[in-house]
Amino acid sequence: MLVSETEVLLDAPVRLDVEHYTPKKTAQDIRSTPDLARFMALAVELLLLLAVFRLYHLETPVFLRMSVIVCTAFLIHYWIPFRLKEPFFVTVSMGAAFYLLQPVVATLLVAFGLTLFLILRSPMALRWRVFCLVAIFAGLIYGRATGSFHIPISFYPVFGALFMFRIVIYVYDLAHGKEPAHLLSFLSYFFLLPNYCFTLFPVIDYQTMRRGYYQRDIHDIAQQGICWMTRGTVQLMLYRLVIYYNDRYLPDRISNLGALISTMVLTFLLYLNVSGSFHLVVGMLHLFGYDLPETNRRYLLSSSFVDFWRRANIYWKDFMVKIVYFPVYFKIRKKGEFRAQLLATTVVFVVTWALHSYQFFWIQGSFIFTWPDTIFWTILGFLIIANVLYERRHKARPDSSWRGRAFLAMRTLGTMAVIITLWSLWSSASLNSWVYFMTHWIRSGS
Amino acid sequence: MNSGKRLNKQFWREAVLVAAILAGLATLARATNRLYGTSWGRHPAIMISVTRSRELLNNPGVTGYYERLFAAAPRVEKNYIFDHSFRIYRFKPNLTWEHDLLTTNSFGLVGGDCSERKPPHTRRIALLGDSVAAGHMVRANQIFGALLEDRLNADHAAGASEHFEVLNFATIAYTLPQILDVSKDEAARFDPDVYMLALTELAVYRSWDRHLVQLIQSGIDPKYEFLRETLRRAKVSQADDALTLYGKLAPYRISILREALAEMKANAMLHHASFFVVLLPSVEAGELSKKRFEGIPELLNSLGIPFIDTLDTFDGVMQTGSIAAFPGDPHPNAQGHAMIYRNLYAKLRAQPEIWNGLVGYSRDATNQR
Repeated sequence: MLVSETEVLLDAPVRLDVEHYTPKKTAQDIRSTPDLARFMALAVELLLLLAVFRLYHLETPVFLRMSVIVCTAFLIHYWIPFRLKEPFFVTVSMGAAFYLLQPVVATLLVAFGLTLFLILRSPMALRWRVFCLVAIFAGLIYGRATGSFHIPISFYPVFGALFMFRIVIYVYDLAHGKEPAHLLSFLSYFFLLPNYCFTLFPVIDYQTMRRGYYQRDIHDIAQQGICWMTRGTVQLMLYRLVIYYNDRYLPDRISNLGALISTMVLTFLLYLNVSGSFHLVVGMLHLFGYDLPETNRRYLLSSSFVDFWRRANIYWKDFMVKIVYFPVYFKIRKKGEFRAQLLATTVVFVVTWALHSYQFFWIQGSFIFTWPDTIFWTILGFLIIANVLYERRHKARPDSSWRGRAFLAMRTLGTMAVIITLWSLWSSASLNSWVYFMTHWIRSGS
Repeated sequence: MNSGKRLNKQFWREAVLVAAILAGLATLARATNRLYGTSWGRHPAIMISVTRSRELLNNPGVTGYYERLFAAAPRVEKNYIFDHSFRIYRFKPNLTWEHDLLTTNSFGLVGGDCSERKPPHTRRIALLGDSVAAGHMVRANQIFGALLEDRLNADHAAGASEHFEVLNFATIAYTLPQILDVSKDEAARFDPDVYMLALTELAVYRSWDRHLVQLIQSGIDPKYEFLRETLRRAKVSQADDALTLYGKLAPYRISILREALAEMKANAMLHHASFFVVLLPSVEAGELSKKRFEGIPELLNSLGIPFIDTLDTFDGVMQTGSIAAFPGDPHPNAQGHAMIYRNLYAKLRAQPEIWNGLVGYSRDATNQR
């Protein structure tokens, strides 16, 4: 009884009942088979990557320390037997919290994490377990807002980064799955090593993460991870160039249309910081066998608003589709397909708007409800709904003729022009400052 | 089987490509200094140094949604006196602030004690400015102002019997209106012979109006007529949020800087003191400091205010981290201050008009020497 209980807690592949254990190579075992030559290639690439991180002062000094831990952990993780790989990753991740964060913050994170797990693992009815989670979150939100409970202020952004969104996905999957909560998969899902440095983190889906674990040969997974880390590194370097070129545009220096367009494009390109860090994060997880999908895909080439929604921060789109769109859509589909699509999309954007404020609260300590933020999500929501309607009526057929390509280029240009304009609104802290920013060149010319 | 071979081939192709890119990037970073020295490589070297700069990330001008998400909350330091006055805050007297290596004397001025009354045979220089002149994260005796004082005294620049005293009136994060107020209300009573204004990009660029926004939001009287008039014209209101205020004030940047500088010059003349400006660099990659001062030399010339341009001090320093107070900080460390001092001193000597004003020579005496 004891063994089977532990077995359930630690996930199926880890068997503690050694006497009855018969070694059997699973597909994942085979995919993790070492190959010295390819290992050496990966190790050399990682060393070069670390050198580049150091030479280019990427991110913060803590980031460099975390990267060294990730690379060293990979070199060990690669060689250990498959059944020990995930426990090893979890141990390193949780141990690193004490090295990268203040010990008291790390202790609180582990304590709260385990409490959340025990609640989710308890035999209470799901609604009571959810109630307990909500109570804990409400308490912490109160603590964050008022500074009560003598909890260090630096705890909240990291706690938020680890749990604010992923707990929703985890509970959703728990409610819709047959399996109870397992300690190992719980810890590996929440205590992700790069999360301590990146409080803005891609909303990784639990099922996708579990499904993708060693779903391909480790060398291919790790190589793809390193490619994405390199891409992320280059994007973070370009981000600095964007800041550099954007620096010249004080509001009173935007004296012609060219300057306005330049600064709007540069403001949009600040997103390179997000996409670059997301590539780094997911790339690092690839090193440990988590074959996760791409976080951002050529978003500058979006040819429609729906296309942009599908290319930029793909994990967020997937999160919204799973947690909001499908539940709403399936609930009201009987009343009409079109109506269900429309309403589900509307709810997605209202929730997206609210959750961005919720995210802002965990990181900055106050909710953000500004007109630019509200108008941005409202307009984007309408544009996407309009786009969905248009696509329903006009089925796009691939057209490889010159005319078709020219039309695609024009469409891409138009889409990005609208997105960039909207983005400049979103980036402004007030509506007045955006109006000033957009119109100053007209006044200074007259 | 074929699929396996294909994947293997793809693995090696990607590995070689990634390794080549990374090795290329590492080589570029290592070669920046050499590249900067060549006739054609200066601009590429500057661009590489920009991609390596962490200081750039603390840029107040970067106001995207995600940048606001991670903006550091302003610190309300317990080392200031907040008194609802025009200057809003000032250093506490007799302060020993270990974290920022800052000490103040009984008057709340940076550095050691001094008397209010000027001692005999002493030439007093009032150093005005912000955190760079105040020596944020640098010990008082390592600030460029203190190094200049030492040098002037060691050289007996005004004769063997004359002593130099640099009184440091600079305060962290002060912008030009606050500095103007210091020069008129505080420095003047110490009877300085010279007013040396150390101007950084803080006072002239993105954050030039930060203090004005605080004044408006706190309902504090702008004190100076030119400020009152400008705020009236800008139609600002206490109810406006900070960013609206920044937007409304933006068109008045140059005119307010002009008025403040003119008033400082007039104040120095009133007290029969010399006045000159030092344009100070921050630790920024890509010669950003120079770019941010665009238009300021012309403004000073139009007002007839002499100035020393030390913005080229850090030119050619491709690894800005080596002269920053700490990684990612735009304040110079002790080494950076020493570089500023050397550049400043050399340029002071090269500009007789300013030098004479500083050391108190008449034109004739200079010619005799």
